[in-house]
Amino acid sequence: MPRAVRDETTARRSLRLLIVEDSAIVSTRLVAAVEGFAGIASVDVARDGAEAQQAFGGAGPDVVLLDLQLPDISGLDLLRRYKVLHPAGTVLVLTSFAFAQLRARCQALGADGFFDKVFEFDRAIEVIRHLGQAAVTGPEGATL
Amino acid sequence: MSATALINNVTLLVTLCAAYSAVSHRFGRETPGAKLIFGLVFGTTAVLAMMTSWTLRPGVVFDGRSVVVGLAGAFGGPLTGSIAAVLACGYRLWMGGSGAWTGCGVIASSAILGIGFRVLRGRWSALSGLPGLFGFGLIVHAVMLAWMLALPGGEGSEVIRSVAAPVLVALPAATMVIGGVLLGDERRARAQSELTQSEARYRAVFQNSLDGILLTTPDGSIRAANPEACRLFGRDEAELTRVGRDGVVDPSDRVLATALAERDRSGRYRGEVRLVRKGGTSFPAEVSSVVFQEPSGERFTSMVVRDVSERKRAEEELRRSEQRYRRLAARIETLREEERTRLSRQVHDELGQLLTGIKMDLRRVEQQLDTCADDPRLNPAVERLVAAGELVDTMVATVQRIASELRPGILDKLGLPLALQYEAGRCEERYGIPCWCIVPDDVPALPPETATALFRILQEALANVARHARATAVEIELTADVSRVTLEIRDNGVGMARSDPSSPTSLGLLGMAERARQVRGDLDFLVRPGGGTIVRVTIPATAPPGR
Repeated sequence: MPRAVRDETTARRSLRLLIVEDSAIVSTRLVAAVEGFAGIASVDVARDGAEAQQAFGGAGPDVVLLDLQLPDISGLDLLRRYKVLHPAGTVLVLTSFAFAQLRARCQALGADGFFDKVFEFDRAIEVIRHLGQAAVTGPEGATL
Repeated sequence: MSATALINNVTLLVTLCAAYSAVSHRFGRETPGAKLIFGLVFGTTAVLAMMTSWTLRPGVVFDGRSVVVGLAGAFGGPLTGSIAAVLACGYRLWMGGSGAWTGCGVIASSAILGIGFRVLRGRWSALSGLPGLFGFGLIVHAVMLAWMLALPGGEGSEVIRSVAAPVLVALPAATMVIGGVLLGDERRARAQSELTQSEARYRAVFQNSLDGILLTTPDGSIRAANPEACRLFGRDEAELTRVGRDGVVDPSDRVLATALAERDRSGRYRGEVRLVRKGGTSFPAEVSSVVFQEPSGERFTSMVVRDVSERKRAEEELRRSEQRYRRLAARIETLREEERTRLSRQVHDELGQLLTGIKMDLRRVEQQLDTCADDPRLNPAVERLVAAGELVDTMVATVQRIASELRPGILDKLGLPLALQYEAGRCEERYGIPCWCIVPDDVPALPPETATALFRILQEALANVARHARATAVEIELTADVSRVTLEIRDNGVGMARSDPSSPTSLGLLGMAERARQVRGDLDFLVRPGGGTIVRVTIPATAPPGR
């Protein structure tokens, strides 16, 4: 699994972010966008469902930025599994198919955010920035 | 008239009847030869009658000749009547006496009246009965009495007075009785002739039928077979009679027992059974069989047999050909689907991701430039950047639309239920018809072929609704259990019209049915009670693809 960013020293308490995205073009830009955010201890990238499930093991990521269209398994299955393993973790869904029924389905499976990959990706990035801040300063220091 | 003469005349007339009957049996009735013989028989009888005549006075004799000659004309026609009259006249002239010419006149008038009576009874069948015959006899003998006035010496009126009563009673009665016997014989002969002709006609149908016909009995023996049956079974009639039903049916054919039971139950059977030719080769035959009863009470069965080997071969060939074309159509459809999947992925994954990357970069540059917002020189650059971002948005939307129209990635990546919901949303956008989609939360994973078939059937059904149904709402419902998955597309439109099977709509419906068939599913079009149509497709959930 490619490890994009690791900074063990920046935060008193910091978050591990996992980006699940099969396109390197997109994942590279997402990593670049969250780079340097306060409270983000590490950013990992999983290119498919298998890599993502491997990353879910152990303590697992605190925040998952999840693309639903993956080459091997359904992103919905991945969402369900992550939420079973880490009920307190945060999942932000980023998809090209942002339609109402899919949003409802994701929410039913426990997704914390649902964004159109092209038109709303910067909102997802913004949410990650806030989550990082909140991890550093406590919930009162950050607003979503 | 003396008793001896009476007895002699009665004997003669009875003999005449017997001779008439014998001749008509031997030679028929209507041939010129028969008519000639009848003439001779009647003439001879008349002569014999004159030989035993009753002499009223010298030269004036009475006998049964008028009866005989009259009946000769009435039953034999002009030729018979003429011959009988000539013979009788010849003999009467030879006898001589004062009444000879008057006697000949009586003979001639009797013959002519007889011929006339024959013509009349041909037109009015009511005359062919005992009253008619009596009336005929009355006229013949009234004319005979009139002839008496022509006797030489003016003795006619005295003769009439003395013989009128017996002549107008006894001789018409004799005419009636003998005529009745001849009439009965004539009727019997006619019935016999009609029967013979009828039998000949039916036999001709039997002999010349292009279907094999067997006359059989319910217990399985064969009584008669026509030439076509002999040709079909490769046996002559005697051989078929000997081997019976067991020799012509295929004992391994399970339909046979059912067919016989059906015939026993309902008295008839029509269907296909396997029959056997001499030598053991069997062939498929269409058989119709009926049980019937002869007037004698004996039960028979008819069996009409048609060899349908050729038709079966043609049907089989047609079936094979249809299967080949079905496989070809399925193969083309699969290739088309694969091609669409490949193109859709390339467009979505490659072009789509590239555009997403560009969009992200533009946004990032825009955000970075926002930090230098104080420098007004950057404003044009920021504006170009925003415009480029908008162009990219349009391109992304176009790429997503093209990819989805080829084959939505959702179907492969997220499964059928969400793909159905997505398509319902697109239907609403594209056609402006509100579309509700009801899918269960938990649908077992379907084989890709099944999911594809259901999705494409939905697309075609929605297109049909939009094109023809004039509906204002559509419901899509997917239900699934362990054994089957059912998709219903219900609209509230005007229903489906029966259209030309080659029209695009019909071909579209055929395409839907074929897609269902390829995954061993069933497609039904139902009329919705409140108006509208239900398209229902049911597919076994775990069926291997039918290809």
